[in-house]
Amino acid sequence: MNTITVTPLSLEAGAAHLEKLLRENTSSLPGTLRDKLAAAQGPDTLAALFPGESLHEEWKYTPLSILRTPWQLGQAVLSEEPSLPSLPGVSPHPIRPEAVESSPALESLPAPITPWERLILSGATRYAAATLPKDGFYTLAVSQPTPQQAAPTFYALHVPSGVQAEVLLNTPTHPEALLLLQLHIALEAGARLTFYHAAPEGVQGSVLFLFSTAIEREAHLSFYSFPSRYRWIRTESRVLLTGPGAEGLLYGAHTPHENELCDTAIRISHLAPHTHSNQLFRSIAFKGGRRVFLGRIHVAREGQKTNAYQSHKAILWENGAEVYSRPQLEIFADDVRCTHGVTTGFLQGEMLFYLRSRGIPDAAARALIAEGFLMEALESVPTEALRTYARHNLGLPL
Amino acid sequence: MLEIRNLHASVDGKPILKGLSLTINPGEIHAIMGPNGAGKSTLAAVLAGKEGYEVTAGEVLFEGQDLLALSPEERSHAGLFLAFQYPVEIPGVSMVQFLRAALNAHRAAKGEEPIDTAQLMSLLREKAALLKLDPAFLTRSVNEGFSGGERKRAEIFQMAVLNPRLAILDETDSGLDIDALRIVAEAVMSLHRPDNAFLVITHYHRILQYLTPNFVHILADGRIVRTGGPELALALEEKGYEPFLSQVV
Repeated sequence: MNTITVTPLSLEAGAAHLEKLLRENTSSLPGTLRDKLAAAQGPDTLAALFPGESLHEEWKYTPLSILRTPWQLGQAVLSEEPSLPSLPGVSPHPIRPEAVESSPALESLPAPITPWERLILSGATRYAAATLPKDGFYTLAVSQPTPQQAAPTFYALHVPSGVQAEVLLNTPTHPEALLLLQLHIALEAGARLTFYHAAPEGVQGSVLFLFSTAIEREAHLSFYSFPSRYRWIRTESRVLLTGPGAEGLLYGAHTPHENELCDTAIRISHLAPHTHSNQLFRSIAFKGGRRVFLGRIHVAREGQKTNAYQSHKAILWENGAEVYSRPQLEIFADDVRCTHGVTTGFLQGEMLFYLRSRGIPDAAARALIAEGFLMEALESVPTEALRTYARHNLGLPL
Repeated sequence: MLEIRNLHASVDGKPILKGLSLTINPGEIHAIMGPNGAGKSTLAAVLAGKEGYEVTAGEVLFEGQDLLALSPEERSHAGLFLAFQYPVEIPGVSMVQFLRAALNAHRAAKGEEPIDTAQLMSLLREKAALLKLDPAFLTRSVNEGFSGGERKRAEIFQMAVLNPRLAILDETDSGLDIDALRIVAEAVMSLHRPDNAFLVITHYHRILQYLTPNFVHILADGRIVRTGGPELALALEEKGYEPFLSQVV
């Protein structure tokens, strides 16, 4: 059993550790990944692993202490069972992951730019891939049930041209465990995917979820992040809109409670003309909970006629809650429409009084306001059973 | 029904109501008019139980109960309704969800079972028709994206659904065009019964042409300084407040 001794994750020492880990874990990798690995290892310098202040800035509000735990290296459990209550009217198809020898999805895997991507890609204890062969609803669970272990896992999904699918990913994680999951999804021209990320009830452990996707011409992705309770979760999404007419829509509702961190870092890249993206997030932070949202829209020179939107609204539910939001625009094309907006504030007493004046008791009024606020981000969930599931699992302690 | 005796109230330590007394009996319509800053909306807020308004003296009895001792929701359960001057938006909460919660809270307070969906929808559609509101409005979020006129109509729609004993209409006529004013006023009058009452706060005579108040009160500097019949509103419209205020000692 290998031991990840991520001891002092000051940037320099952490980088040194990652370099060591990269060296130790490359020998058992499947051959077809070698090219990616070469890119992953890069010049093996500290500078390459931690590209300066920009990376530091992106982790500014997220404590790295969770990564300093001396985790044992373990393996995640891959299963097609969702570990969620049954969803009326939904007949899931199992996704049968296979060890990666080759996958069309890997062709579009972007070069890793963060040490975490390099770590998982080169040091994963599980590599798996699957193709969604036909239209339908699929479920997949990547779980880390073993305490004191970290499980770096790499997963690739390929959605062939014309396929219309929904995928429900579930990441149950032991409260004392760390799941390091990188998921890459390739959407071929004209494919449509609705993706949901959820967790079972109860407080889960720590998850670093690196999500990347390459969306080709006229392909469409809707990604919904349901409210789930984690001690520590950071979801980094890299969305590449590579063909004309590609669309990437990201939605999420989050409710960090005491001693919980929920961090979302998004980078959407418009790399072709006539592409469309939206980031719509709603958050409520409770006392002692921290919510971090970094949303970046990047429009390349080729991305003329881009439409890109971003909205993150957060409520500080009570004193002691923390919210850090930062929208970013990087626009290199001159004929685009991009809007962004983040707001953070307290619960409005006017709203509460309005509901109470109609006879709704204080606690029920607060719950109604919170539910309405969060469901703004999830009202477009196309499957009613999942919309209902989300509404009933908003994680509100009210 | 409502007995206000020598009510004094302050906001941020500043006295606004300074000895207001008013009695409203079942079946009556009262209008309160007065210049800006007289305390009209403060009276409405104090009666509905809004935080930040400190009652420093006096008492208010509603159906024999000490109204000031009740929470806002208890006042609503007791039969009090405030149509807001500036109704707030509640994003993501549909009118149906909102009114289901309100109606069920009222029923729970009376020890009744929650309303079933068919009954609820039938009631909401009936009352929406009364206000000439498109049924699609029921699925919209509370007041979100509503025009000024729609908001005011939505307030009276809620009043129709909750069927209060005493409704306070706080400048419900402001922001309404002539047609919307007529629709709202006619709806209010259709809800008037011998066992309920309305307290209409307004700046203008025009809504009183439809509502025909039994009493018109002039509120100035936190007190009712003059009470009369509908003719008083007409006189105010013609002469303004000045002649009436100058008579006050």
